[in-house]
Amino acid sequence: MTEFVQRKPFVFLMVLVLTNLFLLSVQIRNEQGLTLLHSWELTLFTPMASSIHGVTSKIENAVSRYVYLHNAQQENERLIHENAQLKLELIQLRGLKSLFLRARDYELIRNQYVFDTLPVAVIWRNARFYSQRFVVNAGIAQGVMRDAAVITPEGIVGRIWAVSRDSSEVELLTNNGAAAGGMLNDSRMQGVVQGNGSELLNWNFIPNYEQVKVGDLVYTSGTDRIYPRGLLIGQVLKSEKSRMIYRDVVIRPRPDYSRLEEVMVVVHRE
Amino acid sequence: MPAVIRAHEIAAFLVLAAGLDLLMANYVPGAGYLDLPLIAVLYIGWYSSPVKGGVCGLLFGLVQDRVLGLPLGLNGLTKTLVGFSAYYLNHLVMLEGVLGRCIMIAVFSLVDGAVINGLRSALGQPPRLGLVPDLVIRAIVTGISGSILFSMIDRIKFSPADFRKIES
Repeated sequence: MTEFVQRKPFVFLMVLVLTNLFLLSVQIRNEQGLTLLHSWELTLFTPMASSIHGVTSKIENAVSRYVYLHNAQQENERLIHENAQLKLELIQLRGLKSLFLRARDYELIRNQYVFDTLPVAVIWRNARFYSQRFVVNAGIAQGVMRDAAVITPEGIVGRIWAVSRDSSEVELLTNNGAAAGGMLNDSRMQGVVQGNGSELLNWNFIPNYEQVKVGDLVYTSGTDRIYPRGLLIGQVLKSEKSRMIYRDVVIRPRPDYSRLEEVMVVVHRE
Repeated sequence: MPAVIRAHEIAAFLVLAAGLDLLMANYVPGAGYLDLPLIAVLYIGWYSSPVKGGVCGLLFGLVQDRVLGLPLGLNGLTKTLVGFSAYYLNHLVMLEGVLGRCIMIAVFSLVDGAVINGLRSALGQPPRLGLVPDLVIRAIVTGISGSILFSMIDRIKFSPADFRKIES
């Protein structure tokens, strides 16, 4: 066997190439759902990732606390958290105010604006060059559910893609196939914001006759039943009439996904 | 120069390249531009046989796919081809100088990146914006780092007598 392989290396190369192609084809077929391999890997990988994250965080904290004043550092962290929470509450209250002026349907209001958030840390991410997902340190045990919205005070990030006991995998909104309902704040024009695997988002189903200007801010419409209404998605980067009936609108997401260290998962949504 | 790469050395390369790749991807900004597994596969393919190079390419590529969260087989395929062809390239062109090796690694990195992005497109993942600059930066970083690493490993692995043999 070894002799045959040494004498006919190109035959062996074909076997190796076919092995890779087989692996790829199996994954393409299963891409819509979570594979067992993926699920097991997440469960096995969590303790390791959490430990590394814990150790590196402790080292980072020790160094920064040595360099900066201990109390000032803590106070700063508390204020950052408080500020983030207040920003979210402000968004919720603005949305409530605007909705109260237009509608009196209490159930609608509860569904759209009343939710709690769980602050979580990003414990693992793959190289940004390739990946559109990352892992956070909260799972089923902390009340995180699949498809829960992941947000920051600056805007939405994505949704929970896979959950294990103590960790979850987040799919960024920019991932190919990810989507959210989006609307303009002033005109209330609604469309579907979709990721395409790049750093930007497409805003689809906006008719050509609608006025969408570069620089306009796009907010969640709440129609997707994942993201609460009124959160910022991003800013219009390009808006052109197309040959079809819908405009060609490109959005730059507001949070910088490559710099996320802490995010919030929407839990206990009414 | 003796063309011997032992199994335990390959295992050490694999663990080192995968481990460093994993840690750097998380903790070193811009580390995605350095393709350590490509350098390791090229080195093994360079100094062993096409079969060994191909098998190591497959192993390193699959590990890299897991590390980067890509579909299994993307890097597996390209690294298999890289490991396999490195041996033949070594016998066709005598690239023992640092500059020659740097260019060779950079070209392999460019081809590797282009094939991966081609396959990504075929799988329905559109290429990222700034694709060409990313690939070029990656090729330059990997080429320079690879040629330095090649020289370092040569110095560790081979005795001065081996180098004198080459020079004479």
